[in-house]
Amino acid sequence: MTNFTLIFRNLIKKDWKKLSVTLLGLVYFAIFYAPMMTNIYSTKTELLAIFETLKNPAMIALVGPTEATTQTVTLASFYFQEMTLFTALIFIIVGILHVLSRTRAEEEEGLSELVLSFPVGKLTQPVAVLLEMTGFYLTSALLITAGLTLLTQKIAGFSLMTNALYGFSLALSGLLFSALALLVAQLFATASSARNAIFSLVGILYIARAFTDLSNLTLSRLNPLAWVYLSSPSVGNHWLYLLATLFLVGCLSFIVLNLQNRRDISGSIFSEKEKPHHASQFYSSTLGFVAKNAQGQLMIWGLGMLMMGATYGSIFGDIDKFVETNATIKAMFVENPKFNLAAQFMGTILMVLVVLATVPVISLIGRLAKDERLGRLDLLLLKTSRAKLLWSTWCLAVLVGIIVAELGGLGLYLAATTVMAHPIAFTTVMSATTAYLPTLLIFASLATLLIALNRKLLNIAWLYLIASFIIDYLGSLMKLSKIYHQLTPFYWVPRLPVNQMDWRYVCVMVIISLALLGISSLIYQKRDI
Amino acid sequence: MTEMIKIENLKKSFGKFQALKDVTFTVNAGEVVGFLGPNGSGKSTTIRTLLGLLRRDGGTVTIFNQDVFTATDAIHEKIAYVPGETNVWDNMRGGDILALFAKLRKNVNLDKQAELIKAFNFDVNKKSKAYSKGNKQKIALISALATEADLYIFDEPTSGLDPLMENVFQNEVKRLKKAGKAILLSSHILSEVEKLADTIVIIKNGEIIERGSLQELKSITQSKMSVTTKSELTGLREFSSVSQLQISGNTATFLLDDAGITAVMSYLAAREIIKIETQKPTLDELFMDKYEGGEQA
Repeated sequence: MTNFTLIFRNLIKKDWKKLSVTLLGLVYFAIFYAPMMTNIYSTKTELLAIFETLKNPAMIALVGPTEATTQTVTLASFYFQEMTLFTALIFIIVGILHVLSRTRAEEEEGLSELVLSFPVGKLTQPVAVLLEMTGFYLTSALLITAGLTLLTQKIAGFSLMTNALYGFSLALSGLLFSALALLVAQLFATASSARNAIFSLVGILYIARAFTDLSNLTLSRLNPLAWVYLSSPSVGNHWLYLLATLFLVGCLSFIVLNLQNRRDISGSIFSEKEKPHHASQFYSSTLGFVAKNAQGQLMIWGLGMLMMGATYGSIFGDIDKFVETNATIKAMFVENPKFNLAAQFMGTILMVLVVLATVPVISLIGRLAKDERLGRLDLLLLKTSRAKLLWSTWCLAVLVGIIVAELGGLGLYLAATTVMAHPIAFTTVMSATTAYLPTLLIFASLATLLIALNRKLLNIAWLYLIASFIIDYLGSLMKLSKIYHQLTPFYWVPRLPVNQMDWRYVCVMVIISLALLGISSLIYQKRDI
Repeated sequence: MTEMIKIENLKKSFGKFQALKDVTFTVNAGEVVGFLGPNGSGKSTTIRTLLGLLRRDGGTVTIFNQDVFTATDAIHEKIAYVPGETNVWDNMRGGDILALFAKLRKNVNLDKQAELIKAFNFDVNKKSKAYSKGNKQKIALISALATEADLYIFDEPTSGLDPLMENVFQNEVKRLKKAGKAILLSSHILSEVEKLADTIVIIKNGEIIERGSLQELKSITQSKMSVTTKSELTGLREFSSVSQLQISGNTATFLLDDAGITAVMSYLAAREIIKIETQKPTLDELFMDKYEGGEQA
């Protein structure tokens, strides 16, 4: 690998600022909530109560099972079960995005070709990126171990070993999927198709583990995504999963390097389909242009959401049984006649589905930012007005969001009906889903406004989505004050069927989003493109 | 003469698409080879193969008598390359990128590089996302031209440059040629190739259809004729030796293959020639002729 040091040093020089900020963010997210737990669950009774809800199949589908029992449960085991899978997903997404931007994206732009015309070995680039990610994740594991140990000195169940197991489980799962991203980057011609492929794979692994966690835990042990929580810090302490992950990282790296040496650079195994040379009449209209972008997203997300909804729906039967057989849960909630655990969890799950449905909405509106950066808008704006472009994009993104969200609800209903003794009615599920839709408009309008102001601001919309999700999902367990909840659009959604429909909420949401869209349109017409 | 590049019966397919069917040519030391062909004819595929980036399906490809795919690093120590469209890391300054490139190739003459930065009027202090297409192109050009290599490969190097900068580039190529370097110049700008190249290689649909010195290509094969006669000339259409025929009234301009001179002249003579001019075709005309009726992109 001629000139490896130069290329590696250059890579670090370019990335260190961005990666340091990301690293601190990830580490903070992985540990910040631990010290607060003593205030929230100060007595054993409180801990046991919340522990019972975590044995709920719906929770297992979301975060994985626990090995702890009523005797062995500690704040630590509760914390690790709660945090590990979601934190790992964030670690994984960060790694995948970074690896693809440094490999296939550079190859797609012709940058790799130029660099490889120098005396630079073909393996230099992938090895440099792999080493960079190894350093990144190793540092994060050490910081998590140290940070968590400092923060949790007086909390039962946490020790240097459990914290290290937690930190390294997260870090190695990130590294594993970074190595996988490196492999996928070799197979696909563009960074965006590589991204679609690997995120679909992560989605499938996530859904598969939800199924097997509930039905057959042995099969989960074959799922690399499940390894991150199966290591079970503070209860089982299975370090073997870390070894397995490392081994797999080694295998993947070996394949990647072999493939890199043999394949065509700037070529791919799965080539892009030949696109027709002439745009049809439909595609040459404004809406048509945006629609072309939306087609693929609609397909992938529609299918994904149907599956995701079905996965969650299929555990509703288990929830029924769980309530019947769990004395603590019965005791806790039996005095509340309105309470129905299945309906309650449907609210949480629909929130997860709607957060997912918001991803294609923001990403479709984000095309405006991407096309602007690449200078593609100039041509389009000769034919159409900026206002029209903005409105068309917004409408189409919202439409895609609504369709995929409803498909998620539909999947949930279809699967739930087959497994429940007393199924939730179709209209109940669908109206509960529909009640969430105004939040899509808010996110769409926010994204539009940010792009109208400056295309670089779009990331704020993503941050707001992630923050809203974390606050709504973990906020109640963390007992965050109400004001935080009120800052997210999800707080205002009437949780059907437990709560009543509230039309004032719908009106306010729609008015806010249309107002934001109107303002965006005014700003967008005045600024430089 | 020393053969710097030697390509023999090179074949390359992408899936079912045969990008290169049969490519054979050489580039010698002290020679500028103009590599011509429309978009999609296989120019860049050939160049990527030369850089060791693509596997080949058949044939032998060597630079400095070493295989381009296996001895890649050793070869790259002594070549310089400029792609048709240069992309660089957005967050790096032009000067930092040039410095990195100079370290990667140990044979960069830094005084020459400073001189070229001036000649190309290049601002090294901007971050590269602020550079225009032409300015990004200058990064690759300055770095390559400041390199003391044995072989230079240019793939449409002046795309995005203004005519003044094109002129700077042409003078630099002339300097390299004088110094006995080998140069492969793929270009769309035929006047540029005509000024610089000794030898022309024309590729069409993955096959080399013409190869020879510029003088040979021009003189041996064809002449450009412009004739005015007393009666109409539509009969010229029947001659297979006539191409690019344009008739207006009793005046016709066309390219005439040397093999058909006698037949065509007697046809013209029978129509009483008023005026006749012949000249050697320009490279443009030659090129168009090779592609007449072909699937141009």
